[in-house]
Amino acid sequence: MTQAMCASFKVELGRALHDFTATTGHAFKIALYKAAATLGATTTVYSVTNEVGDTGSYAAGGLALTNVTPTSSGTTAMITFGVSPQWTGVTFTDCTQALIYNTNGGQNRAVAVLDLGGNQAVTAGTFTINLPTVTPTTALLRLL
Amino acid sequence: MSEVKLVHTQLGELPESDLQFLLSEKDVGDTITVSREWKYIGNDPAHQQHLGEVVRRDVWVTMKIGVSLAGSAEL
Repeated sequence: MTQAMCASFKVELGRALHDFTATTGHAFKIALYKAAATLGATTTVYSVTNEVGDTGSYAAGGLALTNVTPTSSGTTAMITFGVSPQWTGVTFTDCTQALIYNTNGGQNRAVAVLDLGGNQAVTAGTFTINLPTVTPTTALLRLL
Repeated sequence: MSEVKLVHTQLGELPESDLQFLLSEKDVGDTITVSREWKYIGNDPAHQQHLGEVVRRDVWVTMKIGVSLAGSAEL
């Protein structure tokens, strides 16, 4: 699969449609998808198609993320979220990717597609995605 | 008297002493996956058909790197 910053998100940055500011910014979420999902750079909005079904603490639409006001280091702007997403009591067999999207105004605009490193199978357990370290070369979203 | 620690599994809440867990780590591409599998090793007659089965599996995916505006990485 392709891990990507969505092309529509790049355009929408220029239209000031995304605000990652802590507390006062837009509400972002992360949703989980099965292997059959065809997410990538051309994904424009959140969709329920091939999303992991409701299980344990996972409900359609995914989990709300905690905004962290973007920062910069050198010439790179960095965007991340404050708490690593975690779901408990979940069961699924083929979760391979995740979509971060902006729920503002109900538009559910896609931000980025994340590769979860292959089929992730969880049984009545906890699933955690540890977001990358916030550095100019590794941060979740980097504007170089 | 020591308190029995219960673990949530697909068979319900089971005493931790009836379970055996195994940790494994896989480092592939830009992610590290750590999984913890809990196998049933108890002697409750109600669960004997599940003896040796994985009744709970936890997963932690650690992303080494995110995505940049400069381009997309084909993994």
